[in-house]
Amino acid sequence: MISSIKDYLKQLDKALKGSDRAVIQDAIADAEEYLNNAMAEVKLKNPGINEEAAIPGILDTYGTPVEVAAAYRKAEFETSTNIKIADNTSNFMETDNEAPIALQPKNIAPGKWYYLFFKIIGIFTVPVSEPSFGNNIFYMGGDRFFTILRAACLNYRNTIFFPVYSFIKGAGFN
Amino acid sequence: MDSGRMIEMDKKFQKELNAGIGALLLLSTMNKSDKPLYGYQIAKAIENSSDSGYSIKLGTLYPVLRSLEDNGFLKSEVEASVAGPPRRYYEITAQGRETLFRWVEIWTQAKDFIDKNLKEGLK
Repeated sequence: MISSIKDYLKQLDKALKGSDRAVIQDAIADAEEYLNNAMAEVKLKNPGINEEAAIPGILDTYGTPVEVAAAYRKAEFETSTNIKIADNTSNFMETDNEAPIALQPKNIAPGKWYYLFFKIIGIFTVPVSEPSFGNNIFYMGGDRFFTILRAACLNYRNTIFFPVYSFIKGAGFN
Repeated sequence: MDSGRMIEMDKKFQKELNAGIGALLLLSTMNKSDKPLYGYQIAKAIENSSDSGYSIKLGTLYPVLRSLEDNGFLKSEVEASVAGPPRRYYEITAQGRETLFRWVEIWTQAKDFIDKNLKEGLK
């Protein structure tokens, strides 16, 4: 029996065990966003209602941890399948928003740690003399820097962790 | 078949049906909106449009939202919120709009086909 948002998030985390860490973080962040907003709305409409009484109605609309976890696993599976298909089809297959597959960070020699090093340096020093591949995520021009900085400032958990996390997530280091 | 099993089968059928239409619903909702929306607003817009009793678990739409963005059909931006953590605001792209129109055509064909079959099957 789930009696609070915290409980729900714990169970969702458990239901996603074995999934990619980034997927779990996305799922938790999405659930937190929805449940907190829904809870605030219920409390506004029914002043005095406690979390335990409000949660069943909210979850009925949002879905159980198992149902929601299944949806994230499905999306994760489809994404990984698409990447495999793209890899097998062409090493230089381009999409609208991404660098060619062959130039994506995880596929570039001399290796991910080299780029991680530059990326971390790049967070604190702009501009940097980092290798640039046009529109890919390693471009650390002013815009990219400020995007990361802004995300870091906005993040409510940890202002240092977030830019590193977002890079790691984006570069497929997890 | 006992009633518990019947409910379970109905739920399974509805879940399978929803799996295919989530992306279409999201694109349509985003196309209707004249401003970027964050996850909860999108979910509420979909929930509020259901007046027939048909429901979809809103939590299952969030990963579809992210996947639509990965495919370039939506774009998003994180903005600060006065009421809590930052929010990711989504907006439909030109590619998303084109895709929506194509998918609506496919949906209409499928719906006509199913309706015709059901009509004949229920005679």
